[in-house]
Amino acid sequence: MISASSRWLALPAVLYLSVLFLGPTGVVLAYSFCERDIYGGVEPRFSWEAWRMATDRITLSILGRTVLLAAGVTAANLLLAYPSAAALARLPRRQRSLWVLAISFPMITSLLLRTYGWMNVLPLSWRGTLPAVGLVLTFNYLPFMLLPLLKAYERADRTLVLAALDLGATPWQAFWRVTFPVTLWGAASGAALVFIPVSGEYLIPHFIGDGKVNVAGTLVLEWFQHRHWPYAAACAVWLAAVVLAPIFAALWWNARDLAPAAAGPLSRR
Amino acid sequence: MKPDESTAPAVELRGVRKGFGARTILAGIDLSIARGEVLVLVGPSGSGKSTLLKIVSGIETPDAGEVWLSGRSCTQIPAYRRPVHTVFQNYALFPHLDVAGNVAFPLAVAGISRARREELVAEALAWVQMRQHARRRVDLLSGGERQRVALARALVDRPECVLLDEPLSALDPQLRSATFDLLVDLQTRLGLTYLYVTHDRDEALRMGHRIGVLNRGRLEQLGTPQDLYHDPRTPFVASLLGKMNWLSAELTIDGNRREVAFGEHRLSVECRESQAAGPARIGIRPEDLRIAPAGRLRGRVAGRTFAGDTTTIRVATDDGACLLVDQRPASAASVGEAVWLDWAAADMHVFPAGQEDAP
Repeated sequence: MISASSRWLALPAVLYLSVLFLGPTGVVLAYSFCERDIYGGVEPRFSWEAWRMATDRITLSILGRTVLLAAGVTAANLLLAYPSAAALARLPRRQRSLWVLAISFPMITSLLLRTYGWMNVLPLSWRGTLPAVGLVLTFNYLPFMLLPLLKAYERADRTLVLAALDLGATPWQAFWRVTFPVTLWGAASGAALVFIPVSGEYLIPHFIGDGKVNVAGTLVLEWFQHRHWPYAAACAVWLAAVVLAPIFAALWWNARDLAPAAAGPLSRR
Repeated sequence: MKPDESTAPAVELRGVRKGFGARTILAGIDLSIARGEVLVLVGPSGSGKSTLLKIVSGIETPDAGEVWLSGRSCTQIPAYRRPVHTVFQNYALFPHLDVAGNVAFPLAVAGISRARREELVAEALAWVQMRQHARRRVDLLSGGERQRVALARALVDRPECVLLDEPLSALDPQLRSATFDLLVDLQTRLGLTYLYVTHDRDEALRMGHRIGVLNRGRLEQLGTPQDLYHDPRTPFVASLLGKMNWLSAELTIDGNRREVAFGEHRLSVECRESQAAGPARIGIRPEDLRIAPAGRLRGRVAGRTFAGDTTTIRVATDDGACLLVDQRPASAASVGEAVWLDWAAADMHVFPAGQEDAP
């Protein structure tokens, strides 16, 4: 439990977040209900216009594509990260840190350089396609999935899998009935760390998508640049709502036993 | 897993060897466990007993040798298709399942119907007196309760053999004796077969129908607790299964007559045919030594330890050895008093000099 006095320790962070995050978010929300002025900025007058535009078919299909892309990248990362985490968790500690370093190493180079690199690596015909964007996003976000999952694997008791096999579970059953539920909290953290930023990505879709792949991030960027701030603001709010809804739902659903079940005293060493 | 009516042993190992790198863990083990028998493997840590258990369960594969379970060659069969279950030392309960979910696990993976599963789980939980806790989360259970859930989970589908890996070592002494009784009771009531691994000699002697002593990957002796206690084949077995006083003496062989000499006393002894004349180690259990008005060794009482049902008297002999005497009723000799030690010739265990003790 947090005592009343130690709560004040969070004050700097709370202040920082309210001034620089909650405030601006409120501004964006307010803008989405305003009228566009003749220069593309905001006229402080109430209007539904931006929201009418933001709920039309085109905007909705772009948002749908964004969610699909983010979900696909998250799923691909899960598929890639699970076997890697399983293999890494079995290595001796020293070797494991070396591998983790090697896997995170690309993150040290600039995102822009990496993306330009990919543009040169990808066959020309792939440029401007959604799968290509997904591929590069998957590459970029793999460490964010792998590291929490590896933590979950490290914390899980390895004898649990042996016990499952001993009790008659095939390796496949042992994975689905024991390993997966016990490491689910790691997968869930990783999924959140990938899904949220990927839904807002604009740089990679912009460069790899060659202007032909429209997702929420590029849409917002475009319309701020094309001077329709209320519409861009509405799209940004939409995006946040779409991304946060499943996460809040999952939190609400699992708040009680997501982490504690996996990290119970049994699996602690 | 239907119990096989055949008379094949529940578990049979033939020439099982295992090494890790240059280290030999098991150096050729042969043993067989009859249906309904309790075989206890006892040995110090590093003797290979846990590895042997893993080889029977299928978690480890032997480098050479064969594993037979109920008359079926299982050497190449993976762990999940072997008719044996392990009770792990740390219990290895599944933290995301409740008590009933844990016990139902072997049934669920075998595809047994829900109704039948519930029936069997209820029965298994009743065996270990955990029925009222069926819906509890396992991380909220005490150590003893966890042990009982692990046991119910290993018994629920009636395996051919239950492998118990130091099942009492994590419990405090009181729980230990209650759980011990439960293990014995279930074994007799359900006619279970146990392969029981421990490093505790009291557990081994009290639990085992037969005991196998493991030392550096070798089965040093296999027999009933009485055999091993009263007729140990090596000093290692002798000292692992009970306290032992060690004396040095010279063994002489004259035709059929074998004698050891203690000072001016010559005693005829029984020992193995193979043993050659020369320096020997003589072991005598503390309860076989008597403080007597006249005897074979002279010494002085160096201390007395009262432990309720026994009193151990330490006697320092004239030639510098310190011997323990567990005589009942205890001699009244007080500390510092000069005494004689006496024993029956048949109670001497004679070994060649230079063989190792148990740690």
